[in-house]
Amino acid sequence: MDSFYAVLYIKTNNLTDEHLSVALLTAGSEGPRVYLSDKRLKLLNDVLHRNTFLSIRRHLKSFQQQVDKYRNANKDLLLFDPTYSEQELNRVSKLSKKTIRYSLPVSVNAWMDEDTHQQLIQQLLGEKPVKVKTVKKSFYHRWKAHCNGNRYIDFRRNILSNKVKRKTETPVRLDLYSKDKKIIVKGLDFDTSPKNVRERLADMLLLCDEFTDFKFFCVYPTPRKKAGRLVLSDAKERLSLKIEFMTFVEFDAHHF
Amino acid sequence: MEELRPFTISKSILNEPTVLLTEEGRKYMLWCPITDNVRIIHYLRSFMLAHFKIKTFDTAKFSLRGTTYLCFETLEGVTELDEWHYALWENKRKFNQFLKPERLFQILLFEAVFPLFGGVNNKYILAGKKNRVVYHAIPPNNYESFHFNPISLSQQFATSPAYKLYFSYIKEDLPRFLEEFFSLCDERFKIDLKHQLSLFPERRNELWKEISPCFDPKFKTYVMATFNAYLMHL
Repeated sequence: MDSFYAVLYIKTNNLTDEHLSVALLTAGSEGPRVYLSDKRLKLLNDVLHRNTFLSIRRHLKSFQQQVDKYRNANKDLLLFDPTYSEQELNRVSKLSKKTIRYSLPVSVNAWMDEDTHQQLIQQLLGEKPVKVKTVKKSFYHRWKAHCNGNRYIDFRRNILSNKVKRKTETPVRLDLYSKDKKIIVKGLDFDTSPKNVRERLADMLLLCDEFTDFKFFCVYPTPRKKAGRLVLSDAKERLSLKIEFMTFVEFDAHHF
Repeated sequence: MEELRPFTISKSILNEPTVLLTEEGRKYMLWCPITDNVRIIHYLRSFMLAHFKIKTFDTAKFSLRGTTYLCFETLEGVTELDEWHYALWENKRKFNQFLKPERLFQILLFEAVFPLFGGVNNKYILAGKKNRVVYHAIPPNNYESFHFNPISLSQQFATSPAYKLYFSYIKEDLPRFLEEFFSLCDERFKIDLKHQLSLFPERRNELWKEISPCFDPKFKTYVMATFNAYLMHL
């Protein structure tokens, strides 16, 4: 199948017959891709009525999602014509004469992969798409969400130690605490700064001395840095009698 | 029809008038000169659509250099309803963005029961806080002919997977709308329509010959049965 591209226009006003190109659809040799230009959509936001703009954006975004879904789905043997073919776009471009307009497909003499797609975006819309960096959630976020789940409904969560035991001098926050089961759990990420890890370990030691008849768990994510791994093995050697160290996965599988 | 008072008229590349801006700030598209044929058929069609409460774009007339044009209002954010826009209703949450989604069903029923205007016409999605389905104001054959010519569900694209998915979300309510539609399409409506036709004495016999098969009980039961069968397979 030939590679081709089609530009999606928005007709803002019937009087002026003005068209603003907002998106680019490329398909052919490699799965269909749609690029939606945020900058141009912002421009539309100022020009169109708010509700109309939202509706049109919803329209375009759902179209983009559908195309993405189609590309990422596992494809079986192709018995029928693909949905995003040149013929289909020919039909749609003739049909669409209102607000959202598909241009006639233009064939491209290249293998339509990610790079060609990016190149066409630059040539046609004049934009360099920025790759969004996925921010990895820190362990403490996941850990807090995990503790707040219904699973630990019998436990007291996120509580200061002086509220449980009156005589303690330095209050330390306990992530999970159960008086009946005699369990205290705290989370600790060994990849954070050594000072932070040292302080938190010292806190735990203090807690162990105070809650002597309690079983103490320390939950950690597998450290990715070398320093973190060293600190962990060191802590395990020194404190394994008092504190039971567990990875997050092990703790998840553990039933109290 | 309302007579328009223009503020400006924009011209196309061919130097023909296209869009008209009224003094109230509404935009109208100039469609075609009004002839006798257009006048009568448009009158009948809008009467029928009003009876079934099917929304179309507003129509009006406007005379320019001796010829009277038929215009319809052009609104902001109108897109064609087509299988291609399947993404708009691929799940229930997205489908809920439609205001009165049963309008499409009523339009399909109208097309099937009164196949006088030359087949299947465009349906539009009107953008807004919630999307609405609107029927095109002008019939597909541009008022050229007026013949009774039954169309099937597959000609209306109703049998395509996209349309089936659309209707499957409201399939519990659709039998009710079907019943409502046919109860509106009764003897009284027939008499009303006959009365409207009598306003055009020179063409009434010819037009009535085409309209009367629509009220044939056999034809009505046939359409009802096809729609019932369609609803069963949703």
